[in-house]
Amino acid sequence: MTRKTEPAGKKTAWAGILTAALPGAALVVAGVLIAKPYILKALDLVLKMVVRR
Amino acid sequence: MSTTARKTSPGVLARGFAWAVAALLALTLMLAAFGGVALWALNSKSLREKVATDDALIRKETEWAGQRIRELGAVYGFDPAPVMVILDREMLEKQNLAGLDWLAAMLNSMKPGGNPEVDEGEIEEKLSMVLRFPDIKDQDELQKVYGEAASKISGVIQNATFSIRHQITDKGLEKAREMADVRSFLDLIKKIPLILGICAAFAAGLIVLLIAGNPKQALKYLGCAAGGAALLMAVTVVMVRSVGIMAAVEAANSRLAVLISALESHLLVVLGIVAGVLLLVYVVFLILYTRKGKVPAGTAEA
Repeated sequence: MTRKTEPAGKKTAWAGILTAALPGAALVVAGVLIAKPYILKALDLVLKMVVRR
Repeated sequence: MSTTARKTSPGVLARGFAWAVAALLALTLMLAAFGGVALWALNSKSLREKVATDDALIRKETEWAGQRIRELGAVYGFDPAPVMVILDREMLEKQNLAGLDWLAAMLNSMKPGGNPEVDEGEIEEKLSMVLRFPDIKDQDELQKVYGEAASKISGVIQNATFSIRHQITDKGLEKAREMADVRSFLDLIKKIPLILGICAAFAAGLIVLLIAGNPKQALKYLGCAAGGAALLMAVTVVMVRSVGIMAAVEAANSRLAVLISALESHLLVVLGIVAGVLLLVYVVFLILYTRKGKVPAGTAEA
């Protein structure tokens, strides 16, 4: 039984970093976009209560 | 048809799992990096000193307090020009640092902190030398107006350098401490970067195991996870900045916005260094991985 080696190089380097980062990046982007209105509302409330003008 | 099956080593499933764990490792490393930097920022006296002495912050505070003192001058009938000397840089820096120390202590202990520790006597002493009311001749009235104006000016300086209504935060913290075990929660929060670090080490070990126990081949996955974490840090910073937090703070209090902006610029430098280290790990690991003649024949992925 022979085993084939996986070709790599610069392509693997770029594909690798993107493969490792993309799921997390998608999670961060989606999380921030979904939470944005809530973050701003909560911030507005906190600023009104706690911060002097 | 040949009876010999051509397979890659490690197998497709193992490599798929290794990439999935690498993605998880990148996310964990990114969270650990942000948590670690936040924890460092909370305990760094040098960072607080840098922010407290920031040029843009001092300029903004001087400008704001100067405007309020001119308005008070018009109301109480004193010449605001000599009073402006009390807005000296050293005093404002001291007040800024006291406010930031108060904030760090409050966030570190979650205990009601009262007023920031500032030397009010210094302001009063300086005011006694420059605050004059040329139009008021009656001594009783002079004393009364002097007391009121001095108290207002002192308040303006405190307001310029410390934007938080500490009575409200103190009450909130008291309530929170009554309702929950804040101390245990805080201890756990402080341990989160360490916990994430342990999870990252576990994920790295898992990748090595998935790649048939050959650490050299695992370098590709580990390096890409480190590089991915740096990329994720950049994406997170861009996304958080796009929320519009600074615009909301600017609308509420322009001095606080300048203070946060100064803090942010210092934190971005530290985050940049951490991301740089992660990218260096990525480059070094990939160089080690692609070096010829080191991977056993038949198992190389290079």
